[in-house]
Amino acid sequence: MHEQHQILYKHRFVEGIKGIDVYRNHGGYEAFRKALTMTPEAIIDEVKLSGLRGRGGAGFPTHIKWASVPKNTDQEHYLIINADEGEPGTAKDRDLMNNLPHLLVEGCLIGMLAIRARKCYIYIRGEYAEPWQNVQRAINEAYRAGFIGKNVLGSGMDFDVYTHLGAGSYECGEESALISSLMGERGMPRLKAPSAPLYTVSGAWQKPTPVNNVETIATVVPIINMGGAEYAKIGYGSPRSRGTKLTSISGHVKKPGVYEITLGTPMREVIYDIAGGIRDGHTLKTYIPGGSSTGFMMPEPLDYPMDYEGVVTAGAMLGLGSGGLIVMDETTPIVPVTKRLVDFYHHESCGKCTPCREGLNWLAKIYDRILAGGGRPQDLDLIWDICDNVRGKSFCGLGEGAIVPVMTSIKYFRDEYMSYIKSGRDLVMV
Amino acid sequence: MSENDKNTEIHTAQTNTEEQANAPKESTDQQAAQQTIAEAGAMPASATTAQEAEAAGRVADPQPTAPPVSSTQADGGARTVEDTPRSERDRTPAEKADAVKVQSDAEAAKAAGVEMTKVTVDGVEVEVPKGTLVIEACFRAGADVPYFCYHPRLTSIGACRMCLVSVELEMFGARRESIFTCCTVPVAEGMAIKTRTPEVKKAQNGMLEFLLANHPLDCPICDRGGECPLQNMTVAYGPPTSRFIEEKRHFPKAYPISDYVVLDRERCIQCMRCTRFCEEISGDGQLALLNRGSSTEIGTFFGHDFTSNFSGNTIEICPVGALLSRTYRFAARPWEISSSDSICSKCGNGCNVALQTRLGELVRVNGRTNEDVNEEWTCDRGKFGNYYVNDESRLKHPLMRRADGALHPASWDEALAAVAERITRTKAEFGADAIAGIGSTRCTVEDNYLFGKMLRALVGTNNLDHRMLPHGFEPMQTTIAEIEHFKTIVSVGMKLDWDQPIVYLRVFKAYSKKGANWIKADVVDNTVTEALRAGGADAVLLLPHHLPQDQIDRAKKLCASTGAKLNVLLPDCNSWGAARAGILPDRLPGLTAFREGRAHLDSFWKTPLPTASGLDSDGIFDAVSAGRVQMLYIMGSDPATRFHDTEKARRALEAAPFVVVQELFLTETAKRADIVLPAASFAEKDGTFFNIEGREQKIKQAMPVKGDARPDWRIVADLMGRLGTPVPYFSARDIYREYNRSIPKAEAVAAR
Amino acid sequence: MPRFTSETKARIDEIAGRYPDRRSALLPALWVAQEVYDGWLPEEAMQEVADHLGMSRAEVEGVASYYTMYNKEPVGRHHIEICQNISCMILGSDDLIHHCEHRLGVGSGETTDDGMFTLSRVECLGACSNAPAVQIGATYHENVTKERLDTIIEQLKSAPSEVAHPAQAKMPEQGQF
Repeated sequence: MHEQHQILYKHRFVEGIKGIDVYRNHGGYEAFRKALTMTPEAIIDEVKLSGLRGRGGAGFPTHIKWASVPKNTDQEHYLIINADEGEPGTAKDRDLMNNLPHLLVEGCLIGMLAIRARKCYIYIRGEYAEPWQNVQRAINEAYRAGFIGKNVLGSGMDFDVYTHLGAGSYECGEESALISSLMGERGMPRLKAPSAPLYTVSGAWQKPTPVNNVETIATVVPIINMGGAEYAKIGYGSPRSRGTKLTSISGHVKKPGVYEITLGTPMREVIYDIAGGIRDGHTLKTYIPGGSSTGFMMPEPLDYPMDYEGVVTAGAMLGLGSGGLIVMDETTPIVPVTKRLVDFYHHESCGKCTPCREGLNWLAKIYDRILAGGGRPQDLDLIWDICDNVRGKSFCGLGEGAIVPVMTSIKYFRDEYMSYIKSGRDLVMV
Repeated sequence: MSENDKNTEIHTAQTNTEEQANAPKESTDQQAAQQTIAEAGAMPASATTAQEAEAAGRVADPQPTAPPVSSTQADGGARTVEDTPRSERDRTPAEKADAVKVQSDAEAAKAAGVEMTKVTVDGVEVEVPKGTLVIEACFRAGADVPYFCYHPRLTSIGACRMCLVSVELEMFGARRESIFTCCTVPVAEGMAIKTRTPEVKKAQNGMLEFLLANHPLDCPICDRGGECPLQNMTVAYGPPTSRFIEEKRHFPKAYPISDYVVLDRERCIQCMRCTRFCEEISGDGQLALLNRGSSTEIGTFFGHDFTSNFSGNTIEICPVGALLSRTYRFAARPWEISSSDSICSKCGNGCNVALQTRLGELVRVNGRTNEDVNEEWTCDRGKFGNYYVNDESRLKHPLMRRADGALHPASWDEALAAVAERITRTKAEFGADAIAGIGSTRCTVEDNYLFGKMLRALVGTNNLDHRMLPHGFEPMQTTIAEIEHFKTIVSVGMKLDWDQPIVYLRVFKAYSKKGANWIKADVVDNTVTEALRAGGADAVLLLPHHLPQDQIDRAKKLCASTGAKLNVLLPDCNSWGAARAGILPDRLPGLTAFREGRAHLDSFWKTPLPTASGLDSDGIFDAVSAGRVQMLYIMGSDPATRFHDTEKARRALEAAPFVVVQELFLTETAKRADIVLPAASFAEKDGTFFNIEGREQKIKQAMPVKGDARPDWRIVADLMGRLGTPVPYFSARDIYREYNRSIPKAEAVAAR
Repeated sequence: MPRFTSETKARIDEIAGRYPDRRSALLPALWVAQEVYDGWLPEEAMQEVADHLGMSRAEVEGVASYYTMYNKEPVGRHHIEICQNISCMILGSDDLIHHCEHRLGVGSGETTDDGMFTLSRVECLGACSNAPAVQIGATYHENVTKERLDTIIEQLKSAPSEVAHPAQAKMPEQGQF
């Protein structure tokens, strides 16, 4: 079994690590002190050396995002942290915020140094009352300890970190919708390049506002501590996927939980060793590698490296995703599960663009009909074509993500659909 | 004309009650209609067609194929049928206007030396100003792109996904072709745009199928039917049948959100044109998107009334029949309408409008594009307040006060003879100055000019005024359009969005889009002084005409010293016209002073004019009460309700031995007259209005005159004939030509 | 009757001060309003927020109606939100929901007659690795079984006052400025 490096979770189980004193006793805020002595360019260079890519799902290289923030302007820059974790199957940011809130705060401080920002907004989803309180408590402690506030550590710089609570919208995890929501608007996505400037140049309030995921920004702390080159050595797979990934494993496994998994670890090892394998007496039927938008995958192949590239070569439509591995055994009825996901995306669609608003509404109605025994043989082609009409045409990634589980379910489990259509019953009786 | 607002209001109120009474019935009818349609297209039939459509969909391979023939025909060779854009005929007037605007803008920009970008659209090379949106470049190249949410005056949001085109451009370091909403992407040098690839066609087809999935099939009873962009786009780009067999989304139908606007949420396609209008153009934010996802709907705050003064515009820009006019609802089908270009009669801003009539009744007032005045907007007063022209209570015959003391119908011959006789007798007994005339700020320049000529040249009096309160005349120092370029805007003593709606839209544009400072004050006080001082030459001061003279004088001095521009805004649709036609006791046509203009007019009108200044309206009413004025001739004015001192006006009307009134309605003034002559409304005659800027704009007859009524100039001309002068006027144009020649040359130039 | 006191307004003003523009404080302000208005947002609440932030009222309604956690109807003292999404679903959240509906005698989205409980189905709560998950007020209950849910419900019944919503948990102190 491959060694699982514990970079972020090194001190995850230390008693009292939530508090600033214990956190500092374990080397907390040393990375920030170090970063204070570095130029923004040097910080970005370290991140570049580390090969860090966005951990929220898209896998965009963090240093490119940061380097695109304009340098010589008199505008204010703001760092925005995306803690609107809502992708079904994903529970890693919540675990991190609950248990290592100071790691997030320290990461924010380093991120602010790198992009010359003095204010940081952490957008936490409304349901996360507990993580919100933990993070806010950590912020308060950091204020009192002098890591945030006026003239931090004698640097002459003032920093502020604020939390901003969402109010129940999956769509707000999309970075431009998050910006809308942060600005007090409906959480609808905004225009992107080439229709509008990059958010790192003109985002919220027309100011440079890069948006980073919680895990990404927290990972910057160990990167500064150990050096980017050292971090880049971690990983068993593609040279473009370095470091570790927090992954929440859920479903029919023996040991569900949030694990820090070294990128490139074979998927088989992740499911059968780290998560303890399928519950007794059952076999793996299908799994979703990285949150529902990545779609269903089959038990074979399973020996590919779990990283940004490996998942794609194994046939996933949308890559590694946000780190939410959902494992399902043979008792899982695929059609109702897919319907559940369709209902979810339909419920969370913001309604701005036609294909997502109307397409998902249509899909939801078709699934209702099929489950109620009114399916027709041509419905599968119809569903496929609706998905095709949404694909590449919706305003943001939500529509795109919504159709992936639908298309993969039809691709792999056509017989289960046909069973519903023919007999109005599921092949799998739970 | 005095359109007696009371009458109008009563009329509207009645209409509303009827509408409300009808509303439930209508919605049942609509539901029934829908049901019938749904039944007609029952399962088996649509199942077959769905299969066919699917088969068709498979034939149309989404893989990019060879570009259509026309892309190689950059020399402008013949296009195939397939590539012919949707014909001009299929576009709504608004769409045509959009396209025209894009073209004219581009040409002007090139002429002005703006940096241009070269792109190809379906193989046709076209040059557009840098930063132009791809959709506008497509129109410029003659390609057609369907769209719903895009509107040239609103922020592009790319929501409806209808305008997807295939664009080849440099992105992330590689040149790639992908589909984009062309209403959001700006052109880039060398961009290759394709509007007719199989992928684009499938997308267009798919989007329309999506939009129609939940859209009710109540086109036969929908007001938008026939001029509906959704219908038109479906014909041109949509699928032949729908594969949607599920239950459609349901909302209460025909839900009134104000006295003027009715909302049908089932028809809404969430294009957000109306909400963007409320946010960006009118600035009141009264319509907003509510809920989310497929439950997204538009609405007002908890269903409260949509009280914006610009609500009617949302009806016009709605690309479906979701927002409808309660006054136009079920009044006509678009193809039965005849439309005439005219100018709104409700205020001095001079909106360019189209008066749309069916069978001689005004059914709708739509905005027309005039970039210098109203862009394409109108206010609600204009859109819904002009229906008075249809009112059954309009005067249709001359009325004469008979022996019983009441007004009775009379023939024109009888009435005009009586008026002529009385004028002659009064002049003979009491002198010309015993006759006084009140002209109109709502009649045309032609009406007023002839009225003034009759009183000055034929009767021989200068007792002539049109003002309902004493005020001076300050020409605006900027145009309406220029206001949007000022950095500081100060408005005093007005509720701008109601008093000067179109000026308000420019002010709001400056404030919201260009970051201007907008200061509102009640009087010209120190705040105003400071704001103007700070603003310097980049400031403009907006005043209503009714401010006390000392305030206006103070403002004038202030503006002269700071370099700010001063705009004193007049109230009515032809306030400037009445003044310029010379309906003032001390001014001749063209606002010429006596000493400068009399010599010219003496010879032009071929009669010596009275030399002394006459009485202004206050003086006239005083003189009537004192017995010095024996006869009042009032054209298109209602001093009994509109004069600043109504008591005084009413006393004078009672005291006057003889009162003649030309009117549309039996107003308070007309009720006190001895002879009432029925006049044609602005919709029933040709003529000229001068708006607050003094901009000359023509109105055209849109409908036949009600009953026996006549245009005011025609009544005056008839009377002049009876007073012994043959008058060769056959049309308003003849009079306008004479009016122009009546102004001494130099002044004619200086006056504008 | 307006319920915003000068203290409420000061609280919103303080939050507004954290952002470059006042409007950005809308979401937090609605949270505050929901707290002041007993866990939901009636028309007056939105009106007060709009007027205090200087925004169009319709836009405030548009924003409030967009987010699911702003309650548009009064909720019970305890808001039981059961996750129905995929990870919880395959581990039996549907059974849990039916059990709860049966036990409380209400459907999803409804409130018991005594105003004690509101039951809702919600989308992914982000507790997938400890599914099924139930959120009650600010508290998460994970790995929930029918039996555990019964115990929780019994405890809530006698609980004097339970936070019905995260907003009612006291806003944590922001730290010195």
